[in-house]
Amino acid sequence: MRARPHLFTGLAAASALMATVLALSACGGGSSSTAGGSVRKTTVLLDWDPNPDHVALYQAREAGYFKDAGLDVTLQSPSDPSDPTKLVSTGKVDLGISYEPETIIAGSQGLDVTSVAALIPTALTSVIATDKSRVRSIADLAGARVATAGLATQDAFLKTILAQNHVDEGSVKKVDVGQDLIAAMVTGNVDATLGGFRNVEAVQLAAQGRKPTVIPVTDAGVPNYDELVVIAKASRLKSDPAYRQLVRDFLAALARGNAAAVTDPSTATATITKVAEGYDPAVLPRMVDATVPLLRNPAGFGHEDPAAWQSFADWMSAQHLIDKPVRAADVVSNGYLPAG
Amino acid sequence: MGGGVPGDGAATGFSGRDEIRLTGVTRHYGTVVAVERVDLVVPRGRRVAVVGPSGCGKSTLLGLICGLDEPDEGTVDVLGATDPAGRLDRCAWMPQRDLLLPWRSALANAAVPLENQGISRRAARAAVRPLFERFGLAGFEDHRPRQLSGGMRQRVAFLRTFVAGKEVLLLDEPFGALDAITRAAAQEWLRAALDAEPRTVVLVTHDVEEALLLGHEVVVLTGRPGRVTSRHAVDLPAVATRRELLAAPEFVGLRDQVLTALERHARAAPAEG
Amino acid sequence: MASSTSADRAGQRPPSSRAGGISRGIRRYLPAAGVLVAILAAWELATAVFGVQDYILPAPSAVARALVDRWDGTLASATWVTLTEVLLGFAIAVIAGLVIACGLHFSRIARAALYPWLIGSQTVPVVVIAPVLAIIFGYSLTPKLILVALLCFFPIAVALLDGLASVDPELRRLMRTLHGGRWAIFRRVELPAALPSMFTGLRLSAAYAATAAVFGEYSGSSDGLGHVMRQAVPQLQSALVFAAIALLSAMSVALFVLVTACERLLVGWAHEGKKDR
Repeated sequence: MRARPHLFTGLAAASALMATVLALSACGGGSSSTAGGSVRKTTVLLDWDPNPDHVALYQAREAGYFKDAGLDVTLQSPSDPSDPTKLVSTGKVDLGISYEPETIIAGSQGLDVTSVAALIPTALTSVIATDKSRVRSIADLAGARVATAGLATQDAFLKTILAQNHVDEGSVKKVDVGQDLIAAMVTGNVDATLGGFRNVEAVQLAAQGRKPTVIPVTDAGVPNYDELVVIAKASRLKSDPAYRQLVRDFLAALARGNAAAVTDPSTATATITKVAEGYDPAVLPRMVDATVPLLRNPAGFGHEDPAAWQSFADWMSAQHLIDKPVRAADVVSNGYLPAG
Repeated sequence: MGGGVPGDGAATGFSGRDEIRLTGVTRHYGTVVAVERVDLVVPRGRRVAVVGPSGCGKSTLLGLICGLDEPDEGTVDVLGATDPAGRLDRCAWMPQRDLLLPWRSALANAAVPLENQGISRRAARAAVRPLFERFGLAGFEDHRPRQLSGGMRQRVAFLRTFVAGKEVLLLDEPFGALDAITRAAAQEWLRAALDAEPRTVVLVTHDVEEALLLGHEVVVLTGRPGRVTSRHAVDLPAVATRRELLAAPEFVGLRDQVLTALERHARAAPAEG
Repeated sequence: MASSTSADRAGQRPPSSRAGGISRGIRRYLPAAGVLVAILAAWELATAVFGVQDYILPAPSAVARALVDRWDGTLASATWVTLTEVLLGFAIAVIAGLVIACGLHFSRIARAALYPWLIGSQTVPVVVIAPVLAIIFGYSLTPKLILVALLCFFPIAVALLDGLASVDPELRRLMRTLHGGRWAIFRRVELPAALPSMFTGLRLSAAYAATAAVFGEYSGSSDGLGHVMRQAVPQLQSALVFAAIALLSAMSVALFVLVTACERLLVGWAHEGKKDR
């Protein structure tokens, strides 16, 4: 049983993107914020099908925090994880959930997005290996077969990790296996994977009795970054006061949802179980329990560290993941977060 | 193998090796009786033409003779063989449509019976090539069937049948698809070919003149079910041209006899239901 | 348009078409090329006029640039990898289709037992099969070849089987009287007569082969056009994605043309006299 449901990518992306756009236009996605006390329709395009990473969002909706803030929020699943970046930039959706690396790439290419909150303020991507594999530490990766989900960022993570730990990159055989990281490990076709999340795939493996070795990439030499972020349309933030208010209200409600999830994980589990498809209901609570501690942000909900973002952007530039260097200030803003 | 005395008639029931003999042959398909109690004798080397209207069972007879079909009653003896495999072994069948293989040249088509026996393509084609000259097809060896006229195609089909090297040739309305002029030329050609290389032939046709031109004996088959109503020995003078032959009194007389036989039965047929 | 009757051409060879053949070939493809040019021009214009962002829909000029810029580093080896998967997989499909069709043709029991399974093999969605194949066979070339072969053998097998069964029964009877045994009838009559049908199946399969290879790559690969596309999408490199798609299309068309050329070579007899295709 795969931990994560399948998404279409690549060939299907273009046409599915168009379909998403059409669907959202039909749903009235787009500029919809009306002034005053009347309810504002808000579309949020997720990065993936609903999963434990989204507890704050779904808890906020379930507990009525969005409604209290005068927002009628639609949480939409994408056809591809890069859809939110594109559709927020073109204004087809109000807000999106995306990733820090993706947002930096977007900034480098001149897309009109800004990250306004860290939904998960730490890295989740990890190097994972089952107990059947001989890999117990980064050093053991020498001569091993490592599978990634095919993202260039993950390739760069692997390169950095190997370099930082003095493992010869040439001895490591890399394979792109798409979504099937769990299968790759369980069948023994690879010795380790990079790309699984420590709160999802790792928990899945532990529940199956595989006693996985889990090393978050940021513990192995990759600069710190926020795994999931909330993105908004940058130019509209500057020009549209109603939109700014919408974003503020949204983030305030989201902060409440986040706090609720942290204090009461079992309710959060119940909430996410209702919307997450394809997950084993016995394992989902454990995933939520693994997620909740990672939501703690010492600087307050959603706060992003511009210095850390700059380090990460510089790292991406050095890895040739972006052509033009990016200034963190251009793609990150803490100005819409609730105070305190 | 050799030495069999030629059978002298139906009465003795002697199954010689030198004739085709059908005795009391009946074949039906469900409730429809195709042929009923047909007796037929074709001595080796002789040609019998079976004449009748469409649907009278003529083609069925050919199928029964060559072993592709079995009679429900009666016996079929082909040159000493009564079992289907033996009959098939002795008979070659030429259907109404030429059924030449469109992907093969005329030469290659004619060589098929030899290739089927395991002879190599090159040897088979070399063996067949001289026959093209003999059968008036010189120059057309490499033509595809679609490049040949209807008459030419029938000639190639006949040549193919001939190459099979079987003693018995069963020809099913071989010139039915041709126009009158071409048909006349084809009939002449076939008669010459068979006179030069005699075979035991059963020819089925609805054209009375053709039957008289090609057969040593004409058997009239009529009605539904097909029954033999009359037999006519063909005894014609040797004359130079076809036109003269068609005008000869013997020919005219025979044709009249046959046509009368056909007509008589056609008139009587409705009463027999 | 009436096809010329054989009487017209009795004793004559058909007119040699070699001289006019090449320019006739070019003229035949001109309308299609014209449509392509028109689409590209409209597309280029639309992206410029409507200001479509190139990460949503890149202009043809951007795609062309990506094709050129990324050829040496990325696309050349990816194209080679996918091409290998497509050609080898297709070859396996042809062989499998031939063997299966002939086997089912000769044995009635086999046909009754296996035909429903043949159809069943096509009802399992590709997106489910591909990962399963990767799990069983790993991430080498093998699962991709199997996937391409699996998807492509079916039209070939079915078309050939139908073709073999459709041979004129009278022709079969005739052959039996011309010393034709079962095997002789099969190789001299049934198989050649069934080739036109089989090529119909081949042309259908040629259209699927590239897509099947890409699905195989999605489930585990280290190179190939599918791999490139999947990497390019999250990096917002839409021009590269479309460049890869363009290469895949070219591959499909090339395979299709190859099949058609083989068809003219082997089955030319079935097409002459028909309306120009």
